[in-house]
Amino acid sequence: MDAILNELISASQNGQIEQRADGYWIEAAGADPREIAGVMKAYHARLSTVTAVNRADGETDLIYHFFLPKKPINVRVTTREQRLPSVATILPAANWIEREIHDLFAVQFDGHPDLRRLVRPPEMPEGFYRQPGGAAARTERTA
Amino acid sequence: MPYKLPIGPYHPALEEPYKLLLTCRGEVIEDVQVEVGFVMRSIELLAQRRNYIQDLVLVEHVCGICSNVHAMTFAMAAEKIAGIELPPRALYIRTIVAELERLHSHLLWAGIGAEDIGYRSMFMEIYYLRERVMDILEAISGNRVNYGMIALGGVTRDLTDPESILTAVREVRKGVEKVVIPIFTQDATVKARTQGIGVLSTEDAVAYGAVGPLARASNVPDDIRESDPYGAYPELGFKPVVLPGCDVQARVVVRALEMLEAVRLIEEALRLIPAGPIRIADPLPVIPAGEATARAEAQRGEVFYYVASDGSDTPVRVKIRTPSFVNIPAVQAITRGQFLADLPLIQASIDPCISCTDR
Repeated sequence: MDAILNELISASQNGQIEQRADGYWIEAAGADPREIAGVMKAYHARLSTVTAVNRADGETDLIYHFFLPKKPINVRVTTREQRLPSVATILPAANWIEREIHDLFAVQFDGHPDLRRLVRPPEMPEGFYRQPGGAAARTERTA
Repeated sequence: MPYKLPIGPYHPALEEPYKLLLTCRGEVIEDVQVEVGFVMRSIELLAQRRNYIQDLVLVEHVCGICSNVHAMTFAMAAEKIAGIELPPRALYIRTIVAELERLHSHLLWAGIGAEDIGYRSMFMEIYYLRERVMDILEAISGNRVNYGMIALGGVTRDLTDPESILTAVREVRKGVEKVVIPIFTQDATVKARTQGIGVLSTEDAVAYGAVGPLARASNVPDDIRESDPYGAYPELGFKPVVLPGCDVQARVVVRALEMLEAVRLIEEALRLIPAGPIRIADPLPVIPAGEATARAEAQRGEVFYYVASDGSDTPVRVKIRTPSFVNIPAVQAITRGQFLADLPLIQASIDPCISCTDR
């Protein structure tokens, strides 16, 4: 297990690692997701999904949730001007995941084989989920 | 000369709206493109505007078949952020309801599979068994579909009549052992329609990230109940069902054996269930700022939730990853080179849920 964590830390350019109740979390804002995906593929980890989270500065945090039995690993990467390299060619499971994030959060995945819209019609603007949540969403609605 | 054949999004043969664009050469499928999004309700976005108690109701409506598991996984994520420990009885009740849900879903699937093969009488037989499970769920919760059993920090209702649950699940076991398994494994017509059909290799299953019975029928030993245990499963001696067949028949048999395992788990849980409270004392626990992920094994595979809180009563981010979202793309790998006439059964064999996929 330590080997994979060490490899991940070097692949994520010295990401900060933390162990929590729901697995390992690696903060790797500037990392290249392709290098992380390469390490995880070598260890036969399954890509559960990627969570996109809006940031106040207009960028998007992408949390890659990998699953190894009893050891879930979550890696947080931040987009650069709403762009990131695609991992769909390394992990086919990421194909639909990246299409959905492109559709709902307007993130461009460079190198994706087929970055069509997934759930919303092509006529609608991208980034429907770029809306506030939590307390901010409630103030906005009651205002 | 290959030709293109569109099916859907609205088609009499589809229970839910989605679109398949087939490229065929004669009777053989060369490629399939799947399009989804026709029943998108933006549940993630809605959940980020409602409080946690309202969200429990909302996420239960992601899907009509696997409703309870969504509320349970959402609650597990919120409870992880707040560090809430559940009373043991609540863990057992959650497990029993989850297994009853698996039982009715697998029976529903087996019924539809039988109908797709053209085995009408078997469909009737299986749906009779499923109705017994639905009756039990209605007796426990008052509802047949959205049970509303999950509360933050426990469950909303106690189990008061374990004997009736035992009687019903034993009846289901008898039916599965005497009718479902023998027909699905020995009947000549069923064997001809299922053996060697719709093969998903182990490599493809891993590459597409397939989960649940689809992956386990392709020899991928991945079951969240064992690999990331939750609820009362660690105390019940759970064993995953994994088969190397990779074809439609393996998927049928995995689900049939999982039904028997579900009955065993329910029996064991009802034997071991401790007395005590069914939820924590605080009915409206505060979820502090933080984030957490939660996984549970629904009947179709791993359900994944990510919840982030800003300390208010409304989550900042709710991410829902349903098993069908990863299993449906695998249809591409499964259908290449198959006969067009086998497509309905191949599709049914992955137990796709479009409501789940679109959310």
